Amino acid sequence: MKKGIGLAALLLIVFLTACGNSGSSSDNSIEFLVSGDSVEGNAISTMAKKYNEENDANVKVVDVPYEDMATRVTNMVRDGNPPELIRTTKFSPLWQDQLLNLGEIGKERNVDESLFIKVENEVKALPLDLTAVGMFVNKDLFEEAGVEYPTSEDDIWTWEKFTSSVKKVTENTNAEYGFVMDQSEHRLLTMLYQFGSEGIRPNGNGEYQVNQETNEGIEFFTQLNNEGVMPKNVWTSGANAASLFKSGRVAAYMSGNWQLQDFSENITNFEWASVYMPKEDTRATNLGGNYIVAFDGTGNEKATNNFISWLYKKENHEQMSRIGGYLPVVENAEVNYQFAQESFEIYQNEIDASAEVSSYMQTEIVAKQLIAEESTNNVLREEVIGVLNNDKSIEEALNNTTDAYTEAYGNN
Amino acid sequence: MLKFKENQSSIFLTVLMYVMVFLFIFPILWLLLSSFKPGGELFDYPLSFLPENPTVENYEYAWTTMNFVRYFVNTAIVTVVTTVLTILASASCGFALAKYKYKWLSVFFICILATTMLPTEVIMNPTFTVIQTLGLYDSLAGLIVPSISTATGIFMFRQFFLTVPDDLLESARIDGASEGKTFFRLMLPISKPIIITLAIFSFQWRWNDYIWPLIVISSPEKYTLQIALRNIVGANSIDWPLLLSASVISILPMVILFFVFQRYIMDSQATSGLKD
Repeated sequence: MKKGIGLAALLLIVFLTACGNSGSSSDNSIEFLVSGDSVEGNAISTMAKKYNEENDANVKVVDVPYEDMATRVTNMVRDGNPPELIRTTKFSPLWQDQLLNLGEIGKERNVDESLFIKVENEVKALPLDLTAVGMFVNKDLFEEAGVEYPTSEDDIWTWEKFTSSVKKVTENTNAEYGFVMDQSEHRLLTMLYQFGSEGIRPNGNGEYQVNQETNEGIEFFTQLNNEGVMPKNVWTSGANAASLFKSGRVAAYMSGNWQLQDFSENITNFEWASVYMPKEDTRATNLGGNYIVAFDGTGNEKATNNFISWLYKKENHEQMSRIGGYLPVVENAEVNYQFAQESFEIYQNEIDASAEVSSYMQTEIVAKQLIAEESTNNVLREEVIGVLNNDKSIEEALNNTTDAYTEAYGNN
Repeated sequence: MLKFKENQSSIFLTVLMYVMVFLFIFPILWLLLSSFKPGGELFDYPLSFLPENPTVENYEYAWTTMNFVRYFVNTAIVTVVTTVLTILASASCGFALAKYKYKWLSVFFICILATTMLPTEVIMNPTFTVIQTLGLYDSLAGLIVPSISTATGIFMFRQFFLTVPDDLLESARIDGASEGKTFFRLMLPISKPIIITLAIFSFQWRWNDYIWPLIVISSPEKYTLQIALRNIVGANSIDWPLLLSASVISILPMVILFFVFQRYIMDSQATSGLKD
């Protein structure tokens, strides 16, 4: 018995030493942290493999849970061992001093400059894959009700027209709701831009403010919820909008191009289509998506830059976008998608026609994440939920939102 | 009359029990049955409990998309090694606290007990710094080492060894057994019920551990199952067919373990609060 335990203890010690950190920074491999690559057709891994084969390099793609990317990277930075490259939507001010300037690569490869993330004239991040907000309709329901929806950019509907159309659909079919929108600030802002909002911007004194159209947009949104055109429980208690649409009981759904793959594969009980979004004042979508960020001080800066530059080469970018179902960011890139080609074209047109505010707000909010300790993430959403719950007026909600922005970003 | 009342209350309790069983089993059944539904059926209206066109496609998809064998091996290494070490550490510590009489020993014991008042989340930051300085970041050892000592385990063993008569110990000493020998040959074998109880607990804790591996592990070849599952949840959309089937696969080892050790597990849950 005693011998056995002694032996076991010895084995354990050997084992523990063996699985200790063997140190990995000396080789010239590039660690590339991404989220969700395996569910996006392994687009990034495929590209990395291609690069490794062509250039005898060693780019290692590491899939990190989306929610934990920022924490993980911050830990690695604190450990003094940052990854060479990450693809992310979230940033931390702790990284700011350790990022490579990617401006030259971006310009050289004709990446859309309005989406560069700049801090003090240095480009800290480049957009890698673009997402845009868009509208889906349940084709079957519209046809059953005999209601038309826009099929080209020439007959885009207004929000009033849209509302009366989906109301007609719910009246004439067994659809339960006319319209549903993700419980997301990003989606709500899209609607507000369409009403003519200029976003949440600072005035000359660094105080943030919104225009009157923003107020009108929220009023319209609240009305849709109160009238029951939209299910109130999506915004007030977080019911899943995508599942509601997938159940086939909702006429229209405002989400984005990231749903296309899932819808193409997993909606079998009805026909759906992407349509142009309504406008009130202007046409607008809202941009999002992942950025590529490269770290300084890894000893592999040159190899990292070479890889990034290769990744943005037009044909490589097109291939990556095709596999992952991404909207391209490189000028003149044309992508033949494996699914929902017509939908992607609609999204591309929406982006081209969109008001300037959408890229302005997006890059502004991201850049602020790199410099400000505080974040205004979801402040507007929470305030609007308060309005829907009759806890406060639209006026109060907007004042609270702009105050929060001023407090977080006013001095920067 | 009394008999009738007793009868009535036992019927009531039985019904209540079945309701509880149903409440617990329903989500699991839903998970299991949904994992056999094709993607298009998951959000169908009206929702159906049983899959209309059952398929194992989701499982094939999950198995080919995710490197399950590696995650299983990693999780198993962490779980088994930690459990063995936890038992050795807790048993020896509990033995010392119960059977040795030194001046400050009881104060020390109180200090150990006091650590149970600190939830793991509170000491996570300092623990992480220690792990980092030791060079254990991103290694399985970084998962194992901080989890070895547990106040609960030490307490369980101490309470058990208090009930062991000192005479037994003394007779072993008179027979010429060394302290190590008494511990390993006499004390450890008689504490078998506690060992099994703690082993089952530790196994469950480590298998389901999520937050600590999330912080310490960064390379995918060292991922445990729980971390790997987390990867499926994307920024804006969730791959439900994949998540459902992968979740079922990840709980299978625990289910098998439960059936093998069913008797002990039921015992451990029933007696964990009591002196054996």
